Amino acid sequence: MNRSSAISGAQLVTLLFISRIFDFLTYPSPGGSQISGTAALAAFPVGIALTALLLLPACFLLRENHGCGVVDCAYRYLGKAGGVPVALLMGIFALAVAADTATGFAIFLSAGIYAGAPAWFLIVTLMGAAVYAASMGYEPMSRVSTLVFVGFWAAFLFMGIALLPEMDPVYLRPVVSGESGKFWMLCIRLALGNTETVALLFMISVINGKPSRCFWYWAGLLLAVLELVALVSTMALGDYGSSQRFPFYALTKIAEFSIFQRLDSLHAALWIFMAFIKTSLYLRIAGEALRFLFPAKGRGFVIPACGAAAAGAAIYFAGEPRWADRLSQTVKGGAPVVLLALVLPALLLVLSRKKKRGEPQ
Amino acid sequence: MFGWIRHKIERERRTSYVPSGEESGDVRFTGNSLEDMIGIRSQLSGTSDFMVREVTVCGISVHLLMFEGMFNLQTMTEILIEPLTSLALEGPSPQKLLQWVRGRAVLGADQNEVYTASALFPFLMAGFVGVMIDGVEPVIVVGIQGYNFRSISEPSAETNVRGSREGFTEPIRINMTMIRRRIKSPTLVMKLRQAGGKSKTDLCLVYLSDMVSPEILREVEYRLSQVSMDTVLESGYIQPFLDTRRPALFSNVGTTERPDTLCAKVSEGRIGVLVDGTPFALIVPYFFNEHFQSIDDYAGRPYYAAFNRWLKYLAFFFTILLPGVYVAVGTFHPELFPESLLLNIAAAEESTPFPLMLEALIIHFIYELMREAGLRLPRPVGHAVSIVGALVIGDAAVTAGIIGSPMVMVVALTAISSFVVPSLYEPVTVLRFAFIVIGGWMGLYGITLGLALVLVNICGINAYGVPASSPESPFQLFPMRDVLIRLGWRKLGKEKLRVQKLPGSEL
Repeated sequence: MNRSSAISGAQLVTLLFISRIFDFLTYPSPGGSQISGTAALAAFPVGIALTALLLLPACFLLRENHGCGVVDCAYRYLGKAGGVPVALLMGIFALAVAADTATGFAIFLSAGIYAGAPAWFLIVTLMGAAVYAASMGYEPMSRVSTLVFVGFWAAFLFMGIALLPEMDPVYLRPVVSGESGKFWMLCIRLALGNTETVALLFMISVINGKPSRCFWYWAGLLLAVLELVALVSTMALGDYGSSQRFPFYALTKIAEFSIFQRLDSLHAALWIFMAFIKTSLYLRIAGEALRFLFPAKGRGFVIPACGAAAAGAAIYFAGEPRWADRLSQTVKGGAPVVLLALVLPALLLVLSRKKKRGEPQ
Repeated sequence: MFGWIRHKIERERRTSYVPSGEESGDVRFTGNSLEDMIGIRSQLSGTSDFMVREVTVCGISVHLLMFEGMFNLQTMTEILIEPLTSLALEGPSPQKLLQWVRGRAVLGADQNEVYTASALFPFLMAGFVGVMIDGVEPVIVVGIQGYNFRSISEPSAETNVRGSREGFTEPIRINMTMIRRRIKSPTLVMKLRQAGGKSKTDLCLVYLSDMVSPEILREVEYRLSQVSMDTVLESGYIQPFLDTRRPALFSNVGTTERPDTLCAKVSEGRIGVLVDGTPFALIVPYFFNEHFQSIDDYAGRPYYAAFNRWLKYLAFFFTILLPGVYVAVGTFHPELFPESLLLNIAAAEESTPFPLMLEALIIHFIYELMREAGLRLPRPVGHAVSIVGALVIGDAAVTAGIIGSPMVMVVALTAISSFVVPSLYEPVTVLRFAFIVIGGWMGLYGITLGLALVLVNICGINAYGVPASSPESPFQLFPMRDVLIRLGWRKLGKEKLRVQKLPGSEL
């Protein structure tokens, strides 16, 4: 019986959505900017639009190379000499994202929820579970992400109801004029820190559906949720939110629902699911990109090896907060996304057009 | 290194297992009945239950071959011995007698000719009687089975409130008739085949030719051809061959004792496998959500069926997670308990010497011991064990200060929940213990991570090209009409569901 490992467009959308939204819910406010909630509300659509612009060359390239990911195109137009470094770059980037996710998550857990829990233990267990999921393939991961997606909405609805008495529209203040610099900085950071765009370009070859449609659904969904989260945070937390290291966690702490009292554990469980999915996704991408480094017989060990490398790195960075910040800034700072989602596709697009022109009519 | 170990194991297995074919060379009958009888007897190694009755028909020697207790004596007398002994042929010869038996006599509804002992034995051992005419080569086998078997009765493992009370029984032919009576369609196919080198157990594939996916059918037939065992005594022997090859907590093969359930599954494009000698039929492919469905859901009101489904899902999560979550919250996150409950738990646990995790492990271990003992012992003794167990756990253990009373409540709730979905009992029991250990060691973080792994494991099952987690994930609205809720028959019966059309299907 022939099996394809392709996933549907809808599954890809939920997978990337869960992966992306995780960053917004666990890390300090997007980009770390001290920007008002209203300005953040306005920044999200602009950030999404910038992301779409960023992906334009890739869009043209992939339209001309139907069913190929960026790495496949690199092999096609640059040969093995060009394809291998691109795959290596992609693999290292995915490993870095996996390590950064585990580091950030361990810091978040040990600082916010499980005070005093050793970070290495959290990282090793998370990475072990992620290795198992990544070895199972994209399909099981995407199916679990659909279930988490439903869980996310249920939890969000639950929390929204619980926070209704706390919400006050008075906090929706107009954007002050001095914020324009911060506003644009946030927009750019939202676009360039979006590592999922690189994941999307890598996973094109495993999608059963139109990639451009997937992108728009994903962007639309992300925008809607971010707006909702920002709106609820702004109205419920007000100025208190900007003083919090993890604003969304602060939100869950003040949400009390009847006998359930605090809802932070419910949301912590959801975040653990999201971290698991994000880490698994990037380990899978790293494993697929770095397969060429391993002999044919040893390819079963690629993902465990990637998991071990990412876990080692994450343990080191978790012990060195300064370096952890640097890793996070490198991964989400914009340079890797610009290189892998803009420069590389643009270069490949030029080569593709040149090759087309050279072909006899 | 793992490859080398796997290679060694594979080589060891290949050398240690020799699939047995026929016990001796397959020799064709000669037509000389004395000579053939010597051959047959020598192949049967002087077994005591083999019977031979010699009669003379029109001066020709005829041997009737049978196994004791496998045939119906009255039927044999009426349709076999009586016509043969009263026969008067003109110019009798063995060929003429054979022609008469072939063309004019109706000795039985099921009649065949065999030319070798290896072809004869399976018939005789299935309750046929062999008619060996001296002077002609073929032996005629006549189906007049009459062995004793358990009559059709209510299935013990799948009782219902409304609907049929019939359950499968051990002989495969009886089970086949129960299915045929329910689906009177020419597209219902029952394909017989055998498994087991020595047992030669009859298997029957049941499917609707206009509903089944050819790919699934081909795959099932291929997998059954890979069954390399001498003896197949139960459907559980062949279940692993039909199941997913990935290590999975939950099986992709369903079992049922009910002919109506099998018919319902078959009418959605699934394949049923009946195995002779067991009332448990197998169903492939089988999805995770089907564990939460029962035949009563379709007999009652839809809203009650939906309520029942939710109850079962809740019970499933209760039974695997409740003890683990209790241990995790009690050990690591007591602030999550409402204040009054926390005070009660603290008061109860103050007097117990063990940590919560150990307490939970001990009490669940005792519960499993009692359950196993109650199951295997004769019923009256089993009841006694239950009473002693209830007293020991429910009262004595708490009074002695070994466990806290809230833990008794947790165990009781878990135990009751575990019986709500009986088909999942085995994986659920193991998972419960695993979650207790994880909860006591890693708290809610570990429980969540463990649950994520369980979900990945369920979502990773794809044995026949259709995900076991379908249609919840990948999601599709149409098949969800019979998952978390059950629509009324007016809507449910309008459009047919086929398993190969479920979301995520690669067929």
